Amino acid sequence: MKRSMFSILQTDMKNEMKFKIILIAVMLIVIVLIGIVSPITEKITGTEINYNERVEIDGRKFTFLSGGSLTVNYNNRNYEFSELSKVDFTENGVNIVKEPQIIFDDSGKIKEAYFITGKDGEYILGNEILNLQKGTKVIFKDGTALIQVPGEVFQAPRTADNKVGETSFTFYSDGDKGVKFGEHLIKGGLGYEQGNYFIQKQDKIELADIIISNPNHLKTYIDFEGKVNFAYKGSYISMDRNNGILVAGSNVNNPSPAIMVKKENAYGLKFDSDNDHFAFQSSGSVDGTYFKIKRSKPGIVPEMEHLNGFELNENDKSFYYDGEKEKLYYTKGKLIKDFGEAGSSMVAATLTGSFKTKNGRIESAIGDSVLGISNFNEYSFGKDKRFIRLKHYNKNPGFFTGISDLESYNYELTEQGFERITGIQLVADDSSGRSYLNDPKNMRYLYDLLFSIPLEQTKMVNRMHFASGGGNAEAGINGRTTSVYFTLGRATSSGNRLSASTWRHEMGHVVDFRGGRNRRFDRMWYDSGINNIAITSNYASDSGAERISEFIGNFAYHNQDEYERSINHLLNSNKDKDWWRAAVAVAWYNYGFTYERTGEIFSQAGLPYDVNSLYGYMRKVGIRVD
Amino acid sequence: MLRKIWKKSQISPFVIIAIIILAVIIVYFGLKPDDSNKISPEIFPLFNFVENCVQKTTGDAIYNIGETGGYFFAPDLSIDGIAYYFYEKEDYMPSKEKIEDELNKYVNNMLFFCTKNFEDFKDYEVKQEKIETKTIIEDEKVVFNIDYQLSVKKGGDSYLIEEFELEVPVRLGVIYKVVSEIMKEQMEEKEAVCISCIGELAEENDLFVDLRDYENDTIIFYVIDRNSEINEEVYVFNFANRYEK
Repeated sequence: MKRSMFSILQTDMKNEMKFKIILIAVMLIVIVLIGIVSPITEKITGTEINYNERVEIDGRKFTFLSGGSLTVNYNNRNYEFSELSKVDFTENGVNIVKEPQIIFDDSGKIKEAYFITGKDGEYILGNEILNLQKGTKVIFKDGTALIQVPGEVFQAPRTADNKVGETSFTFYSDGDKGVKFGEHLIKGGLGYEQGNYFIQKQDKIELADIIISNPNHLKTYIDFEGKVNFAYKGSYISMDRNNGILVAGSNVNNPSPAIMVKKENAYGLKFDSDNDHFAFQSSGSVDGTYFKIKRSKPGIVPEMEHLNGFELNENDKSFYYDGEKEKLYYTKGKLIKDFGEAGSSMVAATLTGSFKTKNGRIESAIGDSVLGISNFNEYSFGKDKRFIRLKHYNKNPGFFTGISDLESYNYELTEQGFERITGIQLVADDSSGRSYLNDPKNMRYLYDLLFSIPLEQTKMVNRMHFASGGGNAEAGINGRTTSVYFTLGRATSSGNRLSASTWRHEMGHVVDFRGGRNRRFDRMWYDSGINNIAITSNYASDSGAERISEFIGNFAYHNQDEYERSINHLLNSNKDKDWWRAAVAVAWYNYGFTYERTGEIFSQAGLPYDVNSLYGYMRKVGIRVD
Repeated sequence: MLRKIWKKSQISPFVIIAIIILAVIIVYFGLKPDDSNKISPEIFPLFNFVENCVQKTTGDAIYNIGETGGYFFAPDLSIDGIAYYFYEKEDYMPSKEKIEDELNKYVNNMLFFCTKNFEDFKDYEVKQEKIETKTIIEDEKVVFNIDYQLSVKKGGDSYLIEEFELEVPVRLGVIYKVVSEIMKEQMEEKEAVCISCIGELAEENDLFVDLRDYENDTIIFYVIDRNSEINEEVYVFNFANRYEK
């Protein structure tokens, strides 16, 4: 490029004295003239600006013809604005056409610029340096820069030394094919401010496995950390697909954009139809709000967590937390309407963290409970996400169906799923048994039965056999293998062909045969004398070997024995009440009853059931316990 | 169960005096549960039959109002026999007195169908008066005072059975309070159900509250009390709320 003969601070002096005076005089005249026409040249002292001859100067404004160039020295570094050309840029339907132009402020900083770069290189806008390819369109005004790169790739701006970034950039690709953001292409513009990326101008955008709806064009920061971030001054979406974490938050009084998770996703949300619909939104508050989904370990449904307000669509049903009322709500219908039609089946997940801000501190919003949501349009609160009680089976007040965070309980009610999760082999001994095991309802029933016994008891069983018959059953142990045989009759009181009480009775045998805890069951039960007192049925009365299993079978799901004596009576009014109390405690100690059921039994009698009390009941009849 | 029973034939002055003395003693010391032992063996089968009917009918009454949401017959504003408590954003929950009255109606109307005009007791001549029931719902129980006058004749002897008092250990008062709280919350937020409130209430009161989406923008609430059993079933109290779209 041909340099101008004209320079503000550089002079080309000749030695000839005869021209010196003339030249100085001419220069003085020119300087005076420039000073009259463009006095700003004095005011941008400290900024070195070279420009070619094809330029109009109007105050601090330098307007070029296409092909014009400019060198700017800012913060002691030179930046070449080479072979600039006319910019023609369309954004959101608005077309901007401008001749190349650069405008400086008082301090010598570029405050406005319009051009297309003619060469690859570093360009400075405001306090920020950009590495731009040849052919990049730049529109910069009022602290906002629109940059259209010729390909998909751009480099994040950096600040000039000792300077603070103050420009809000938006990067586009030519033809809006999308700019690369990590491994993703962002169409409609990707913003950048002071080290943070954001989206703002898209009504709706797909990003990896989510769709973001932002019709109000709220600035929404995006990162790939998968972390809650209170530092963002606005809404944000933070995703870590490797670890299966997705967070949407808002630290201002505007909601985050709505997010819909796609069927194929990294967060463990399982959709059993293309219509399934899982969408959420954080309500926004200066106290900070967020909604988070986290993939669990294999086989477990995802966990969710929120701080303050959120809305969650579970297909055509919704949950939301009202931050002002500090309450969690359920409603039929979709609260988030941005994503069209929804299916009718919920997506299984567990709300394990529910938090609110109170007096500037974050505290639990729903106590120590978790909210379980099943794949069957069911939800319930409970303490243990593995099994949250939903409702009891007919005529079995101690036997519940529920909600579990096991994927197989929600999505794979099959023999294979059951065997994989429980380690218990299911064997169909005839066609009736096969038919029984092929029915998902029966699989759920079997899960419910297993959830009603202590884990230690579950581990004592290896095989469960099913065949037609009249409702008889037996448990057998062969060496290390424990097999239980069940016959299937007509529907029992619980509504299933397998009697819950019979199942529990046989499992009582299993605990008995396996000796309970450290093989102490028999000693605690028989040697203490409980066996001759805790007789709950005629069958138990007739056969001493059936007393433990009858005791467990009767009281696991029912509140009275076969003689219609209530638990309350036996534990409070019966002459042998101390023995009955000890019997329940011994059954609990030896994995016959869950602690939960043990608590229910004692609470029906108005008796304490903390561990010390349970030990006390046993000691009172002379049973030694550690 | 408490009841009064009087023998009223073969009256002589001594008997009258004896009866008066006995009545004074009974009134003075109160009616004791073991009064049943004093029932004449002559009418014990019939008395036992009526007593069973009273037990069954009061149990049925509590069960039935649980099914309907507090009514003998479900009101017009109901869905499949379950009363709406929330409809077009208005609160239609019946008062406790209203439910007590519905229990009264149930017993007054249905006890007769249990005793079946004593047709199974051909040896007895039974004259029955109108049944008047007064029910009180308490937290832990429902108390029925049933004025059921039966004049019984057998073998020349006459007896009068007048009154039954029965306490059914169903925690209807607790359930009513919980449902009232649910409805109070409902009226504060008319578009949705406060499930955290229900969770807390259920835990505090040892109840289960099962919500089921139903047709016609309706959610059915099942308040389940495993501490209360009726007819060998865990007690369930239902009501329906409708949410306008």
